[in-house]
Amino acid sequence: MAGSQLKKLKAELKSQGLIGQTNIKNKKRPADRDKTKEKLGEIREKFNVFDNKVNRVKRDVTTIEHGKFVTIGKGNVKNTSKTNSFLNKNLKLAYEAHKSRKGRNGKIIDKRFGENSNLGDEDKMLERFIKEREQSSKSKFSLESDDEYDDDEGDFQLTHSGKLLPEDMEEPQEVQEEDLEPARKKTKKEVMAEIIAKSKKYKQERQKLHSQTQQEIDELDDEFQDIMGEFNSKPSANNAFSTKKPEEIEYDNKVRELVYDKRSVPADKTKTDEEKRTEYEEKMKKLEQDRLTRMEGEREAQGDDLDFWESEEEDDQEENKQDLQEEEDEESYEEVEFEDYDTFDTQVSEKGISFINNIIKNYKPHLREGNKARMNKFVSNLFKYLCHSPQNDLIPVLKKLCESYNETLVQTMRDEMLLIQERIETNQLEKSDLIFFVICGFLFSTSDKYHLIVIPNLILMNEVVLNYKHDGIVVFMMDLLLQYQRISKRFIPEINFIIKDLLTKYQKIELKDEEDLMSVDEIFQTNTESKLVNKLFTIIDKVNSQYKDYSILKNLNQSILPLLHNFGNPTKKLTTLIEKLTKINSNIKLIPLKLQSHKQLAIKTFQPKYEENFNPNKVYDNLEQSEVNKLKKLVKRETKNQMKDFRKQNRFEAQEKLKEKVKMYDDYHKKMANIVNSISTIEGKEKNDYAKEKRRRKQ
Amino acid sequence: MAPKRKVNSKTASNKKAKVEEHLSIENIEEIGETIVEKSSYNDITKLLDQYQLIKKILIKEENTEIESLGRQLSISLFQVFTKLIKKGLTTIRKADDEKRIILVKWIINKYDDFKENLCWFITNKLSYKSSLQLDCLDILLKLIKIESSNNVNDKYFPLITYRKLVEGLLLSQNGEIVNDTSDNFIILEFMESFQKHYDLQFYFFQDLSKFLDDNKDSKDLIFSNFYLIIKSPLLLIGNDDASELSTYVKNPPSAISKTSTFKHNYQQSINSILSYDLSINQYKTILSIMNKRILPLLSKPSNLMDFLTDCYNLNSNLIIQILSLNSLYELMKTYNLEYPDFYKKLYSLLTPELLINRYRSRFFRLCDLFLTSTHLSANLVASFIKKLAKLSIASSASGTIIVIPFIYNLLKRHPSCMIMIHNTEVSNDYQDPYNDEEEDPLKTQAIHSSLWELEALMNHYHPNISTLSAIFKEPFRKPNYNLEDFLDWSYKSLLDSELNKRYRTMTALEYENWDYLFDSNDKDEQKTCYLEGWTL
Repeated sequence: MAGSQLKKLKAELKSQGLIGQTNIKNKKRPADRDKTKEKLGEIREKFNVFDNKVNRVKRDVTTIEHGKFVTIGKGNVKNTSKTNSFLNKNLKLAYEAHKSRKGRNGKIIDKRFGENSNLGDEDKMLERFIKEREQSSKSKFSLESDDEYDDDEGDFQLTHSGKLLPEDMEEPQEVQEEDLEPARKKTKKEVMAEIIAKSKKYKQERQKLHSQTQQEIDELDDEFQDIMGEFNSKPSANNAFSTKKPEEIEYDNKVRELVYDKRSVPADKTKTDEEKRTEYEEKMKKLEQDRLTRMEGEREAQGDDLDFWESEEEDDQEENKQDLQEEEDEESYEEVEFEDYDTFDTQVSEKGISFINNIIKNYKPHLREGNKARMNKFVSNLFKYLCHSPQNDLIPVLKKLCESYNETLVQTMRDEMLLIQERIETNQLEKSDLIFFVICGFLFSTSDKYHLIVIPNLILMNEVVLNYKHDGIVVFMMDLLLQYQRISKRFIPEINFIIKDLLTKYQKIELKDEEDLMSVDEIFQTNTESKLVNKLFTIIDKVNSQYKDYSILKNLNQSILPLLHNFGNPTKKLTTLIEKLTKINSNIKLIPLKLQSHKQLAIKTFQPKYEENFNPNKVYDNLEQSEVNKLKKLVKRETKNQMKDFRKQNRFEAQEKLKEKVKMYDDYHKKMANIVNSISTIEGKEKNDYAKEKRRRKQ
Repeated sequence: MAPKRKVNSKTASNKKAKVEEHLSIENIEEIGETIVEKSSYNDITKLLDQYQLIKKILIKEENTEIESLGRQLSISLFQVFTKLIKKGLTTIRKADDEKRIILVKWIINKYDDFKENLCWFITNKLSYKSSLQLDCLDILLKLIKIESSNNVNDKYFPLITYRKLVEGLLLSQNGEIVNDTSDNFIILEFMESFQKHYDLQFYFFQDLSKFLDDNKDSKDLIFSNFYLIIKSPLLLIGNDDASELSTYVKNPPSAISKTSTFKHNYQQSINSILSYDLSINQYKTILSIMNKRILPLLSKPSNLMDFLTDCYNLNSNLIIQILSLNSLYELMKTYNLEYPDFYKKLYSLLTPELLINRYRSRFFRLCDLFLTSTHLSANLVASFIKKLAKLSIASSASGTIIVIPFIYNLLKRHPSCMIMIHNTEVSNDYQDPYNDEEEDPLKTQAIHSSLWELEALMNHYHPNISTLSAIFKEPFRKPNYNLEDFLDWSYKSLLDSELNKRYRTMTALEYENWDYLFDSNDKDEQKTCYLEGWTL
């Protein structure tokens, strides 16, 4: 149908019979009106194309859905205005309901005590009673805290501006005086301060009074006791103490003492020598076993490895008793400076060993507080002292102390090691450093695989062996290293290297028959090459006996032997050494290693799993994950929709509010206009009346 | 100090004789200010003469007064010459008349004198490290800038002045030569601007080789100074486009963007230095920076091939061999250098000194690289394994630590060598066939030997090393060990990690008891001592 929209509308209306001829007969009016409305609505819808939203598809695609051919997107028309109006209606309803309820719903809250809690009737009554009492006993205007009145309830008094109200209210003088004061009005702050000061003053006075009366009462009570005692006591004939004779008293004392005395126990059987020996052997066996486990490195060192010292400890305890007594007798203490090493050094050198023994005796940690710390310092000083001047009778003392002051000693040694390390790097080792290593070896179990002192010591000593530029010290260290490893027989590559190195270096030397002993001081002297080489032979010998079980010894000896042969005039020692090495070498049989003879491991196998009703489109591997993903998607969609709804609702509410506001303003303006109108009309009338009246009067 | 008039009369009377008395700071300042305005150019001579005095005093003793005098003198003269340069009085123009040419020539002469004096302070060692010397360096560098910006040509670099400075620096005696490098504070100051500016670097090497060749007499000094300068990375390393590098003067000639020229000059300088009669340590020093700093900047790195090969073949010194190997590898990798009998040579480096050497980690990094290929023959790899194992039983702990994972990786990579630690088919009359003396790693028969050394290491005195060596007993499940974790241990780091262990329980004491700590000559037979054979 051609023509404009208006023409179309007219034609449509006409065809429906809504316009045009109206005076057609036999028409029922009421029914007609409803119908007309319906028709009008239809037409409106038909003509308002913009109300509907059509989702178009580019091409027609036909599919089968529920057994029918369906063109995709065919009926996909969204009647937005319809849905919108429906929605808006609902929203409006909800909004109105909410508005009508707003500020109107409430309930009665019973605030009476105990009503809202689940107490029993009895308890409720009790609680209420207590509350009531508390409230009545508390004055709202009291400045004091409530607990001050706990002791005397009768002290409650009325006050006015901090002053007690006179009992009889008939002393108007003060008031008058105040009235006489200059009229300056006090600030609130001042008034409050005054009130507080006064109240405090009164409080103090009251307390004083109270304590006074309390004291008096106490005194009276005491006296009452005496008086009552006087009343009650009958003159007794015999004294309680006089019944016993001095002997009996003594006897009683003895009995009492015996009660606290230690109960006698059967003495240990006196052991025969043989028993003692076997016991000792067993103990040694256990210690050896412990050492072996430590050597294997199966566990780290533990405290109970020191059972060996037990017997001596017992002696110690006895000594302790004596010490205690001595202490009680004398209470004299030798003043000792613990802090400083230098003073310690001089003290020891002045007073000798007795000084050290005295300290150990007098400063036992259990004797006095702070002795533990003192002894810790003492032990580390003693250790340093011994490094500088080792004395054979002091070493066992140190060893004993090493057990009780282990941690301190370990720390001292560790600090010392750091210093030694620096000295090694600067080639400045001292005699005391060498002795340090000897003492450590003497004290600790050097065969351990893991050891806090021994391992770092080994590292340091090997650094000396390899890098230090003083052959005497190197040789000494090698010997000491071998002594460290006398039981564990661990392998030290550094020694192998340096033996060859030194032998090559001293090839041209004149060999002499020397005695095996060499002093530490000699190390630092010159012209000791011959002695050093002699020592070197001893060391090679020791190496050979220690490395007996290593098949690699053969290779080592093979590289050393030509060097030994090269010496110009072999001494007796050298020739025996060469013989020994050759013999050892011929005895060692090299057998190829079999290090990898492990149990063969089978490759892990799995039985295949069969799925019934297998569907190639389904993901079997990760059902759980796909389920989770599904849920996630759902949640996402839901949230999105929900957010949309919320926004819509909010928008709607805002619109409604705006409408209401506009309406309110309109009403107001209308009202005002009315009022103004009415006033102006009244005024106009009055004016007219006035004018009329005026005119009338004039006439 | 006497008033100005007096001084003036004095200097006037002693015009030709040496000035004995030095001027005051204010005097110098005044004279300096008036020279250009009054055109009293003769005063320049007066000022320049002052330097003789200052030099004489400063070389003898530390004198702050004279030092500040010298500073003022230098600054005044610097200002004078700056003005002259700006006026154009230091360049002869064609349009100049005869009179002016004489004047300009005279000024140029004095200007050279001035620069000469500044260089003197850079080169010579005073009685103390004076900040005056640094000021002189600073002034010279500023002069370069001013000369460049005031030249008739748009793009100009004052090469002559810079040459003087460079030569002064290289001959500078203001540092102590320690380990073949110097701690010359003037050069260190110079490096501040040298490192940042490409033009300084470019002209540094221009014509340098001639100077180096001419001054072979003071080779230690020049070597240490030269090394100090080239030790830090130059701007051209890893940066082929020279045009974008920052320059010291505003408009340097475009010639400097030719990197080939730079590389050519650089190579000539290096050649000159290497042609010196260097000591072993100096070779070490220069080789240690060869592959990273020097090789990338040479125009024809292959020219150093002979030098490096000779160094590598120099059997006497292991460190030089390792260092040259590093550079040689660089040449082989980037420049296709063919090295015959490479592995044989590499094998010959495995000497007992290797494992206690400072550069061992460098060597092992390279060696690991060379032995990476799985196509190497089992005989060859076995020789390396056997030799290393042999070294490890006579070495430092840190060396042993490297060898163990190294051998593990090799065994893992070449499973045919596993027979060396697991051989089940042995005849009764087995003899170790390994020939230690054989130089060719293909002929040592190491594959038929066995690694007893590793068995010994399993009982190494250091608990961690012994557990580490126990990996050869375990199934070879680990793909390989990261060598870097094992390369840089030292006794110090081993000790530190040991000393940091927490004290838990009492350390185990020795239960065995000795009567004495040390042996003694008159010892009782019954008594025992801890350390036999040593007395106090």
